[in-house]
Amino acid sequence: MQMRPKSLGFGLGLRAQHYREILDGNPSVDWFEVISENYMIPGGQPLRMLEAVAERYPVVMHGVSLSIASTAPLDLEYLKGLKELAERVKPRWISDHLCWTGVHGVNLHDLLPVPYTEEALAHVVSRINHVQDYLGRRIVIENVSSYVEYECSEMSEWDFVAEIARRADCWLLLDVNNVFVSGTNHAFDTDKFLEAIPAERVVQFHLAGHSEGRNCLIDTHDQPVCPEVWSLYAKALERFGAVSTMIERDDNIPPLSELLEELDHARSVAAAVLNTGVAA
Amino acid sequence: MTKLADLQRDMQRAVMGKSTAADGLLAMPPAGSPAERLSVYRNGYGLRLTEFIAHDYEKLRTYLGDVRFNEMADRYIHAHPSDHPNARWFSRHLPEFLTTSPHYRRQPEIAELAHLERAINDAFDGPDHPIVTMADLAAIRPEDFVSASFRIAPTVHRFAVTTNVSSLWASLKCDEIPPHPEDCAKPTEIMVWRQGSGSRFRILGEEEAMAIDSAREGLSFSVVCEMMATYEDPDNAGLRAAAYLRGWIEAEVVSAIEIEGVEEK
Repeated sequence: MQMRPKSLGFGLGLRAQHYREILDGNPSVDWFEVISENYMIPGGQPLRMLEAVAERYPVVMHGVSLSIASTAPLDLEYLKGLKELAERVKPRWISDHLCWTGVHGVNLHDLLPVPYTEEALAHVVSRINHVQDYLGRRIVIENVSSYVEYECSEMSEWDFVAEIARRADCWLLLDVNNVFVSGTNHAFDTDKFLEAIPAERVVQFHLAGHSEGRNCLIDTHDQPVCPEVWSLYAKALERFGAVSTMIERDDNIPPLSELLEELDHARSVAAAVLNTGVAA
Repeated sequence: MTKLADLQRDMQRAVMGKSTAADGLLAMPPAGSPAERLSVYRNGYGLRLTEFIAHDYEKLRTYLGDVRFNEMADRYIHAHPSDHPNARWFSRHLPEFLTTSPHYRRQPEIAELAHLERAINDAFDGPDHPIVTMADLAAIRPEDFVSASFRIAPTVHRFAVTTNVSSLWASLKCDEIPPHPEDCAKPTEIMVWRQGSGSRFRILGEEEAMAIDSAREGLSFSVVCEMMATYEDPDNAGLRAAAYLRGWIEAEVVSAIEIEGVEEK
């Protein structure tokens, strides 16, 4: 198997609120993750900003609409747009979620969970293969937060995710917050999740905040990373080693300086676990 | 249909509120009920799509106020479930929806405000294009001017409104109380375009509107001048046309000069 890409270090999600500060100040961020769909547009300032950032920093593309588990046909127009953007931005990798976002011509713009069945496994593996063939590269698949589990599931989420990665020969993006949120919502042991994931497949970590809903946690990305997720991140580092880490903030976006402080905390957690002094 | 396809169909219906619960679909959670967990997705669906509309139609939201805006968003979401993978395009049908909806068509300024905001958004991230400068214009040989035509940038949007929507928009932008909506005696011509990295709009006179529409259709500048001569003061039509052209170039709305089918810039 191909070696997993070397860690890019500690990154942030690129958000329009911070364009100017990033371009004027060269903040201490090792790389940026960009939401693919935000730049799958004809032209204008957002694409110019992205190109300027991509000239200075490594960039990875993170999508929300691939709908890899949907039973609707793969959206070839979408894939074409994704490929064109990748040719323009030259991302280190392209990721999206292990979920479906709609069927019958409707897009729910949400990351809906998959039933953990053999049928779904075969379906998703086949779709990932198609997408990888089309894009000419291995893609990165992320575990999602979920609030429901299906009655028909035949295996655990972690076995499902691990098997997807092996059979589709793709990389994985381990969202540590999502493991924590789903672990709380479905009362599973998050350590078990981490143990089941093949270490050689994990190329990226997401860290994010969540909110308390009624009888469950909700993956809102509008809060700082909580202590429990930092603890789980430390365990993930023990298991997977130095992996590109980024803080994902999509709402209630604070000044860049706050996110940089949070990123420094990620660096210090990683330095302590990996015993590197300065985490990389 | 496969089991997976059936599950996704049923789950989608439940998330969209088209069925009361995904009976038999969901496992009993450790806390709460399947219906309560499903409601996270169901509530999220409406909230998220409403946020997309609010992001794209900020002034309309202020104009309508939260209660009426949310009611309008619910109606739009119901009438136009998202059919595009990119949230950027979800709300693109809103101006037309507001024009035809029985709830809003008696207040045409609502649809016109949406139309203006959509054009501003579309100009903002519309296709990139070359920009013709005054130096490019000066480089045209005098004998070529007869056949020269000026290509108008793809980020230019042209339409006419029948209300004082431009005043409404301007007040809303300045956080001022908007004036009462009024019907205009005759349609007002609007041009929206991108200049630098931002969108702009202005009102055009009837003659300039005709001139830029004709240029957009690819008519040569001399033909545009002849058409302008049918308006007032035919002797000075050429001078007026030159002034319009200069204004368009300075506003970065001319993307190419074409002379006898040969593109110079």
